Amino acid sequence: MSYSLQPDEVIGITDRLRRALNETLDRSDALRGAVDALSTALARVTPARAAFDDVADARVALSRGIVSHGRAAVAALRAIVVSYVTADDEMATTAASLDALTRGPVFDPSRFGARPS
Amino acid sequence: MSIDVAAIPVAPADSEELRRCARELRQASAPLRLSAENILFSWGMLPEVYRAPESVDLQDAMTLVGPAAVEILTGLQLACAAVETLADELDAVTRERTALVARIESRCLPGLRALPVADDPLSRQLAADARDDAEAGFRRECAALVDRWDAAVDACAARLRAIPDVPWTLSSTLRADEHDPIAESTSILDAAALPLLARLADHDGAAATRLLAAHPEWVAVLRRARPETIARWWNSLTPTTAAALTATIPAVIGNLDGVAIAARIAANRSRVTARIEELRRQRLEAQLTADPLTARFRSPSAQADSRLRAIDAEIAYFEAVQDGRKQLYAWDPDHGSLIEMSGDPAQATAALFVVPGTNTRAESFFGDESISRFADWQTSTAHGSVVSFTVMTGPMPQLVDIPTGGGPQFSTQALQRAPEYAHFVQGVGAAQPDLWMMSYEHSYAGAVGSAAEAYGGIVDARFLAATVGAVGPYTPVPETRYFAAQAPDDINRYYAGLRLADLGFDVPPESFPGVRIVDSGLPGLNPRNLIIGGPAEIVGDSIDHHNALMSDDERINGKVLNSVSSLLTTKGKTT
Repeated sequence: MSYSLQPDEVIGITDRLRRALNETLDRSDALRGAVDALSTALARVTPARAAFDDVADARVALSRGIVSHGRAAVAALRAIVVSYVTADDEMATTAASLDALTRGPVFDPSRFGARPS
Repeated sequence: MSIDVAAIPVAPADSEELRRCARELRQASAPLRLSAENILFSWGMLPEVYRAPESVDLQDAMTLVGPAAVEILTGLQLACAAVETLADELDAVTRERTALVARIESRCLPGLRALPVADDPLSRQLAADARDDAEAGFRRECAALVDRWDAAVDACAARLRAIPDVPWTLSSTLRADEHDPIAESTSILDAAALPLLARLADHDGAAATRLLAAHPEWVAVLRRARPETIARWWNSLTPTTAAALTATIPAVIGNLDGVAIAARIAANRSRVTARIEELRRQRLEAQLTADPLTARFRSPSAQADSRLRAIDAEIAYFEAVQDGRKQLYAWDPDHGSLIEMSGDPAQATAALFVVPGTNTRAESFFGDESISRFADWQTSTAHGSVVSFTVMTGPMPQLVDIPTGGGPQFSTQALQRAPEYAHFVQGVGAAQPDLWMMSYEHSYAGAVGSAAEAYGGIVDARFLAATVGAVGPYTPVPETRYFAAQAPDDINRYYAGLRLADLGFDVPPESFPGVRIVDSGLPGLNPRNLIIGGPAEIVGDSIDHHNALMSDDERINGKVLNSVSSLLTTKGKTT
């Protein structure tokens, strides 16, 4: 597998997803309101109301679950991006020190003798 | 139980109310499908930009969202159907009740009298028995009503109970978090950009050039940050650091929405020297090509002359920027953006954003017939109270692209420019919050301004000059005032209000709720052309009248020029 991370694109996707989830939350709230209204309209028909509440409440909870699950995914992406933008200096420093260590001759003439010309 | 209408039982629920609530529930549940598609579409782009072993789990994280949306929709639609059936059955029983009421009422009509009963024990007994029978019948009918209503309710409950439970895989995986904040989540855009901005500003910006050379991808991350965040960061810098960043990374500072306007102008001004040198080199090469001795071997001299004229116009433009006659607020040739400013933002109380439409290119800003003339006229007329911007945030549609599948008939580029334009508007607002802001959108740019509102590109007033309008569904912003003007025979009128997918625009500007129509003062169809000129003349006039709304010639476009000027002076109160 090839490794790659395009930070600005990941940020764009994360923010787009965040907005989509906010919109979903609004729609879930609207759904909750509509379910409550119908449940109230069924107030005097208790058996039907109880059955309706069972069906509808589970679906409203599922719509909220989509938001919660999505936000967990957004949080995971956010952590990846934040670690990229904050850890990059450390990585650069480490890479630079490794570079300095390896910049010397890999083939040590004091140990192995002079490289044949 | 006496025979009385008041004793007849009533339906246990209001069937009309049930139907209304069921209809609203259907309407409320349908958009969740769109939400799920939006989530999945966004998430589907992730594998393209993030590939690593640990990313696979993340990429698979949303696979259940689609089935969950279907489950929600299906379950609630079935529930609504059950409730609507209940409403129908309640109505059927209610009709029987109505018939019963009518029968009872007909027995009690004032004109009717009961037959006299003979005053003997047998007759009294017979009358009492008849009354008891009638009352028993009445009780049975009332009980039957109740039984049928109960049966309808039980049937509804049974239908609801028959709806399958939400599958366990969905309910256990997509579990609502009790601690999930109700408020909107915070944006990642700032969280990603702020650490990078802090690092660029470290040690008075000493490492900024090196860091951006090592990480060119940072620029795109920075540009995604919200302009108000950039403005706060910029205002927190010491003058030394701000000056150092302006000098060392001018291409970033000159295009970063939210940075102080004066700093952006200075940054972009410092960049044009290199461009002028590059253009002069290109001119030398073009001169060789245009040389009469070599031209016959290389390219037609007319073409080479045209190239030379284009280079000269561009050199003249950037020399004007260099010596301060023109001000560049944004300039990113790689992306295709160029925003010119005229006026002094430090003195201005209002800002005008002139957004030209179809056929706008960087070259439109060069030469004597610059696209910025409308904005310049407004700045000059306002005597310092207005700062104007001529805005091209990225590539605009070109008529020459129509044969290759592009062109202004598609809304695609409007939707691409919309977030950029919103960022620009927010950037000016963040850098100078006290400015009253108005946009003047011409032609295709009206669709950019309309779509930008959804991204927060909100201005105090929008003037829609012969624009295509918007892609529907469109809802105007309550705090924005809308004005529209066009010639009666404007070329856009032939197809305004028509759309099929991304072809066309279905909301013409005159149909925006609350829009105020401004007289353009332009003539309509010339009747002579119906007889002599023909279709070519008719269309030619329509295009001329369309383009006239970008003119700074008061003889051609005086009414609109002065209307916009008046709006800017009075902050939208009069045209």
